[in-house]
Amino acid sequence: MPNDTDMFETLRQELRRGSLILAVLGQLKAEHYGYTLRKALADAGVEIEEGALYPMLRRLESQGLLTSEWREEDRRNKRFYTLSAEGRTVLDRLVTEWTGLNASVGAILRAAPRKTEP
Amino acid sequence: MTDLLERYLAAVARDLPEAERADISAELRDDLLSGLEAREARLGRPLTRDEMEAALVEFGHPLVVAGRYRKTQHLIGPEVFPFWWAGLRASLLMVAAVYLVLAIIAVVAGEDATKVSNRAAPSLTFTLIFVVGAVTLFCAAMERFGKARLLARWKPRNLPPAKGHTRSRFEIMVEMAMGVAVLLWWTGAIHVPNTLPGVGLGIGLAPVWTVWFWPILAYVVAEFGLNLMTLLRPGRVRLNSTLMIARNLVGASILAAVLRDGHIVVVSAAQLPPSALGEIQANFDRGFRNGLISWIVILLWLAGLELWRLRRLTRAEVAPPTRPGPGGA
Repeated sequence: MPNDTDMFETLRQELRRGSLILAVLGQLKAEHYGYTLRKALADAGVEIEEGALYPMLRRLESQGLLTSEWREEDRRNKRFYTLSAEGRTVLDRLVTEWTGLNASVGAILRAAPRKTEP
Repeated sequence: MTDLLERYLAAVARDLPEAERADISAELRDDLLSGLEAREARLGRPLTRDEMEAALVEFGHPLVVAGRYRKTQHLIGPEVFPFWWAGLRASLLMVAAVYLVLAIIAVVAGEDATKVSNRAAPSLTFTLIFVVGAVTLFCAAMERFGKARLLARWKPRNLPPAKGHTRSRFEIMVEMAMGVAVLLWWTGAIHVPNTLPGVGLGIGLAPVWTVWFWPILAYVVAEFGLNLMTLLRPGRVRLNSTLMIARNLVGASILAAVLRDGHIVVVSAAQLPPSALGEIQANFDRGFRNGLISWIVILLWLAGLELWRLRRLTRAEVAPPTRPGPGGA
């Protein structure tokens, strides 16, 4: 039977899952390759598993939200990702959605508890 | 030290989609090297073999890392899972019931219970595993080809009525299992011993049953189909009830036709004189005749009961709906 820590961890991961895409898209307004992207996200307080980031980047690219190119840097070939034009549009819409949801949830959480009407 | 990295990348690459293998491997190599170099820079020295191993373990099992690049991430998803689970329970219950009915018939016919269970166990195990595989394969195919919505398509009007007695799913499935057992016996797929142990008395079906072979076969198949439809579409109460009435009337008619022949079973015994055998034959005919009459009465009673339910349902549909009062539903 899962204990409280397991349960909290599962809920935390569910809560974070949807917002990770938003964070990745937001970070890729500037060009990054995988390692620097993950580092930039971590520095901003958004940790993402190494194994999960690259499949996500590929999926977003196949959906047309990102573009990528191989380039040499520091004597090694690296794949650089950046938001596509469509990605920018989708990001703007997602940010609007996120802001609205954040405000709604915030209002619910801030609201004083009231007795339910009979 | 790089041999560990190369072995790891090769292990991941083995399970990557072929078209993207080289591209993904190159990207993973760069990411891993960047991470390892950053660690070395922090420590101010090269990583030891153990530290290198720990870093690769942290990156993830090769199968897990490669698996994340596959389009299929699960065999049966949350949309299909309830249908898989319900289908699996129903199928397993049906198979178990068929085996149970066949075992009971064999034991009643005089076979040793231990021998029956020893004979049935391997076949039952194989069938159960096959059923699990078949149901899983079907649901996985629905998931894979994006047909999950077909399973979930439903209409509230097709739900069974909340009030009034309808046959339970268990009842229907047991009847289906018995139907399968009868079908196997009737077509000769399984053999039920027909010799009474101890007295050496053989009991076979009279020729009249051969005349009615195909109608009875059609009846059993139709009954199975009707039960299956009731199971899958419980909301079609009116249609199901009408077909049930028809089924019971057809069954009663077939039995009545067999009854008219008068000679229902053929009794044989090599060691008995013809006069004694004649008397036994007459007794058996009388007993089976009474049995058939009882069966016909039961079928007619069931048809009447279904007709009564149908009329009650019609009245309930015509009557204006009543709302629950403030005191409760």
